[in-house]
Amino acid sequence: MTPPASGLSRRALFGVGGSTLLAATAATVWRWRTSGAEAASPARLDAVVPYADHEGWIVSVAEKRTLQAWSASPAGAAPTGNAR
Amino acid sequence: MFLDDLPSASRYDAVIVGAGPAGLSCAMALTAAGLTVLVIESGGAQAVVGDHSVAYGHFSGGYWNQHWVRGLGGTSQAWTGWCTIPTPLDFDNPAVGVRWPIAYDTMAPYWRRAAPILDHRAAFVGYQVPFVPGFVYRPVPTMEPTRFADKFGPVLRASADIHVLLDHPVIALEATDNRSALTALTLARPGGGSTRRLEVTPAQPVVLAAGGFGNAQLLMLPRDDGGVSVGNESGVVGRYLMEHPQFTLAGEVVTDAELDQLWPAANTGSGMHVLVAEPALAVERGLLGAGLQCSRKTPDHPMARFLGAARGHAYFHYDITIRGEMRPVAHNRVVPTAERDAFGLPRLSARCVLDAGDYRSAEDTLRALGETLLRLERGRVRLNNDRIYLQVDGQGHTLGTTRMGTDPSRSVVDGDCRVHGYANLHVAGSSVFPSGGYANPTITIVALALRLADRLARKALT
Repeated sequence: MTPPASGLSRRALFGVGGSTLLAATAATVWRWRTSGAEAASPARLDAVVPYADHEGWIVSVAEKRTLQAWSASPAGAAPTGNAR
Repeated sequence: MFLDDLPSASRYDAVIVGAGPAGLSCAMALTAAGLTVLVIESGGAQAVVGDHSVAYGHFSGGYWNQHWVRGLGGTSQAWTGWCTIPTPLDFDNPAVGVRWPIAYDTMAPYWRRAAPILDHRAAFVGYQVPFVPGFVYRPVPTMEPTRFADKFGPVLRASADIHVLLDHPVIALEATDNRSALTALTLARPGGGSTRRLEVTPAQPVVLAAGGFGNAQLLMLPRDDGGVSVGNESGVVGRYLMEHPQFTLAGEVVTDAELDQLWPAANTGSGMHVLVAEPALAVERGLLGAGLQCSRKTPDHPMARFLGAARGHAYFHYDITIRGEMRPVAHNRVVPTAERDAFGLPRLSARCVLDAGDYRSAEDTLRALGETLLRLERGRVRLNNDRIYLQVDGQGHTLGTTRMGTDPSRSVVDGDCRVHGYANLHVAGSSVFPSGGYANPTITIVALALRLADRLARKALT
């Protein structure tokens, strides 16, 4: 699970109320506005996407092979889970 | 109090056309500041939909009529009760190409004031926590919808400062020759009969709060002399119509993060898990606004089992519905037709067509999440192509038809929601949104109405 924002616990957000919310909002605005929006780099049209498609799932190539083998195995068989 | 007949406008500090969330919120804020207000509503005590428009494009036939509710309470009577506020990027997204003429930060107090009006907790507004790098968890609370007629009807009935006149559609607007102020409104009763004329002075603000289509309809009312409609000197009224495209079950996600654990414990209401791209990622990829709504956790999903066996810990499966954004374009618009509706107003014709970039952005947002989860070994995403490209739906949000902006030739109202050039004509509601973002609009509609009321009250009291 992803932890809550550092220094901004749920209790702080919900136990105190409006002033805390304003601080949280201001912090969020500041973070979003300074998060490097100019860092865009145009994607090359001929770039190879670093993943494979398995029935619509975005997976690694190794996973795709494993999933294909799993799909072909008898129903209920446990996945081999050897992909990384 | 509720009126039976039209009084003189001279006794009121402000006149509001429309008794929905925007109009009533504005009226109540004005009276709280010590002003007296007349609210004119075309419909009756029972809010109803009607055959007021015909539509083409992606939202066709009588689509918009389902969301165009006339009567006390307006569209709140058909609202589902979802509240979320836009992100800062929604106010100024280079991929959208239009900037709100309002500083995002200045809206925070109005969203907080709007929350209790809509029976939401102010402390929940704008809540978000990190999910994975590039995405935040931004839940949408879905409380019982606030029906303004039920909640505020008794308040209005008892109020000495808000006078409500039902069943009186506005059928004409008059202005000074130089179009610097509204001078009169002509009212009628449904079904015909004599009309009534309500004169206003330049010092008396009039707020049009008749809904996304209704506001445009009022500013496109034909004139007897065949001249340009009052308020539409720019020719922009009715253009830039937007919906919030909804791509139902457009994808799936399997993740090691149990979204239920991210739901704030202090919020006892129900709601939706929503993931949103952070600005840096959105700008890099040219993404429009999109909320990835994750729901219907499926236990023992094959992909979750697969990843769980490989990693040795639990994974969770969710379906994803994308609540997206469409770019504002001038050719998406409503125009009056020669037909008249039951109120004697010109029936509208609407066309709203998503463009390729709107679809592409929805897919790319989902794809960006999938790439991120794969790269970080935090989960996997599935794209359901046809659910994005072949089965788009809407959310009943009518946006942009009297857009806000700084350029009078490309917008209808300024940053204070005042019609360009007019001293006393204002617009409230989602029709002023210059862009749609991804967020459900109701809380921002109310917040903007409160903001407008503050400005009008300040001006009246100085």
